[in-house]
Amino acid sequence: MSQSSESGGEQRIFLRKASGLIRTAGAFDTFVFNIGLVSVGLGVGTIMFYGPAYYAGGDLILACLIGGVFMAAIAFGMICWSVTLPRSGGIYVFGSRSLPPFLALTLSLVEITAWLFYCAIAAYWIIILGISPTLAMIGYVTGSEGALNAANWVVEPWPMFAIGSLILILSGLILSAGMRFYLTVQKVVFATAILGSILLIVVLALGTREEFVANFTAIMGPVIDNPDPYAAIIASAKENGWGYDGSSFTQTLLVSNWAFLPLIGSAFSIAIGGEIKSVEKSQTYGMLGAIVGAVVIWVITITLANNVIGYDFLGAAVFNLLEGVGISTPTDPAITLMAGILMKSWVITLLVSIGLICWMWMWIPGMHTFAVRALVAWSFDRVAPDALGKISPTRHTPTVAITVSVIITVIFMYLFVFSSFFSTIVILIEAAVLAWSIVLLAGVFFPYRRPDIYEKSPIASRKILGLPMMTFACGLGFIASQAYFWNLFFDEVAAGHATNQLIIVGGVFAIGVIFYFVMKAYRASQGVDVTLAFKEIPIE
Amino acid sequence: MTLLNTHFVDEALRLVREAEESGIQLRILGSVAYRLHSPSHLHLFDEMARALTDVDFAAERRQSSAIRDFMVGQGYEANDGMIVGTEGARHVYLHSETNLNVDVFTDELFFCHRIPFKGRLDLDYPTITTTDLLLEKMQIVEINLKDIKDTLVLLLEHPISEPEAGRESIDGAYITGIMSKDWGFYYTFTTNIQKVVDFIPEFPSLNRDQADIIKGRVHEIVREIESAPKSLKWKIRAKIGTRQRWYQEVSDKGEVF
Repeated sequence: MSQSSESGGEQRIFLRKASGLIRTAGAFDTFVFNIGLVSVGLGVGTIMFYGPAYYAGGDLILACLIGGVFMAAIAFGMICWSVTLPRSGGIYVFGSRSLPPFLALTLSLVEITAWLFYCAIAAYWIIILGISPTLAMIGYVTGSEGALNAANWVVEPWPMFAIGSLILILSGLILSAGMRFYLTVQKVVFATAILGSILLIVVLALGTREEFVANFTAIMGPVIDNPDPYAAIIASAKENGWGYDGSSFTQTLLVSNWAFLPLIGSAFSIAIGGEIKSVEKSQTYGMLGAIVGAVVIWVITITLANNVIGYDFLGAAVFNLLEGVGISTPTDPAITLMAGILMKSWVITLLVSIGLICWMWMWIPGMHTFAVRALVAWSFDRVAPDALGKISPTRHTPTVAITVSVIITVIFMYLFVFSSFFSTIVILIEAAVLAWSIVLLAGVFFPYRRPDIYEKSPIASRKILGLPMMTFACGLGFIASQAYFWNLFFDEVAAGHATNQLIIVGGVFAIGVIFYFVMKAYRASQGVDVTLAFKEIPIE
Repeated sequence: MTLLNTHFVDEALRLVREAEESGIQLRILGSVAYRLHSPSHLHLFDEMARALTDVDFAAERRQSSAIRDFMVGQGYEANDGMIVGTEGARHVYLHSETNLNVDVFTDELFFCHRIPFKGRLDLDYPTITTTDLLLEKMQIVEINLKDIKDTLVLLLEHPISEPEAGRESIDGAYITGIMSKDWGFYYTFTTNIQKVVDFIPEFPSLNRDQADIIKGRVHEIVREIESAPKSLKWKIRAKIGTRQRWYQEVSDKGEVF
């Protein structure tokens, strides 16, 4: 609606912006969107699962702080991008106005491939880290054979694929109902998830090491057939090569990958930049708030878990389980299982697990949203088929893009469940970090290369150390993202650089380049020059 | 009428008429509607020339798909990013030859405060009702002089009445009903309508009789609103007052994708 812009020039009569737009997501919505994509519960679960086991000697708390600081630097750069180009579509929007078109589309394709892959992984983890351990714990405490059988059944390939696919389809249905509905659902899920995290903290705060050992012995002793299973698990791990000689900063840096990886989600609101109200305030609060919130919860939980359950025990139990050596628990020794054992209560396990499942769930529609926004942005720029931008006549949501995203994740789920090779392609995250890194580097030069756009940004007049704020922030972000790209590169557990996996990543990049040139040729045959879209100055 | 590009008014009327023939309800709102509804006092509108660059319509969301097809059929290019970003609450179209921008708001106009259109488009033609026109201006938290001028003319030409009193009157009971449930809108409305009275002296083209008519109508609507019973939610919100933001923030207009 056009709203008149002339001022009366009188007191009590106000200047009003030339025209208005009501955007969907407020600051709190943005925070919930981001912290859901950090998946705080999953983050603490994976840090405590892999940390002591494979990075023995690494300081988990310091690792969380390092990961948080580096991610904050990346978020700072992304905030500047999002404020300058407040549009939906993730790094595609930023790259398409600052990089060669083929590269912008390729980076975006690489990025969403990674996110959709991790979306499928989240569905997979909901089953193996959430549903199965919960059922198992209920079985152990109540003596229910049915619950134990169900715990094993859900991790069988076909049931796992079916349940995972249903989870992914449910996400698509929620997104099809509209962004407002999704954000409302997300807030309810967030409330449940945060209650689960608080309950876990309370449970750990009320427990002692003696209680945990006694309860663990009472519950797991008969199952493992050992009178002192706690000590036996640690001893057997050490016999099989697990151990450490004091604190190690190298191990701390490496284990910080497990804090950094989920924290990437804190900047995912770049995907919905065009739908966020008061974009500067909301993106700053949403991104930095998610980082601070997650790190605080992690530090508290890890401190308590180290005291009550024990760093060595957690490391030894997971090491034995994953390496297939020594003695371990019959079910994954996840933090949820340990909390239930501590309280000797399947109800506690159930509640903490529900919280964990909610955290993991929040990844799924969030990552679908990221991909959908990118696909729609591609379509509107004519570098992807028009159908991807097609809107439902009833809900006005991009149903084709949503359906495509869900189908891709179901395919990933299939590959993940039925192929041992695909379950190891964690290296895709490195590709996504590299894509972000390139866009952040482009941001360093953006104020100089596109002053026509940057001058309209609300941050255009701000300087840090004599540099445009965007140059400074994106420079910091570039350094931080490069640091973690290489940290992941040299971490064989979190990502690594196995040749066969690098080939997969190279293949995704190649597909992106080919896709761009095919679309460019196709559009040219229709008389459309797609490069014009990349030269467009966004309307402010 | 000191509106430049008045051929856009003809285009707006044409679109309403042709849409109606296609079974689509479009109703004009905004500046054009104010002028169409106040033919007796056109001379009081802006002395300042004002170039009309866009036309706004109200519509029903259930007809969204048909509206898009209709507008595209009329030679307009749809901004699908806006439709996706607002989930159909707002359509934006641009005519590549005339550069006329058309905004369509479905089911409601919701900038600072919510003005429902659903079920109300039958009440008038070719514009939204005078009641909704008054609400349209009074929902603006950062109201400006031009909005106040438009409101002065509207209030001068249209009496406050009960429902069913005719198209040319403002439905006081309807406005009172909205204000009795929503403290935020009540606060903005009563604050703005008082400004309308305060600024009468700024418009020398209004004579004393006209000023009295406007003041009387403002007094009448405010009295109705103040005397109406309020909901519990309204009373609780009133206790908080303006310490908490009472209106929806409006962002700059821009692209979503």
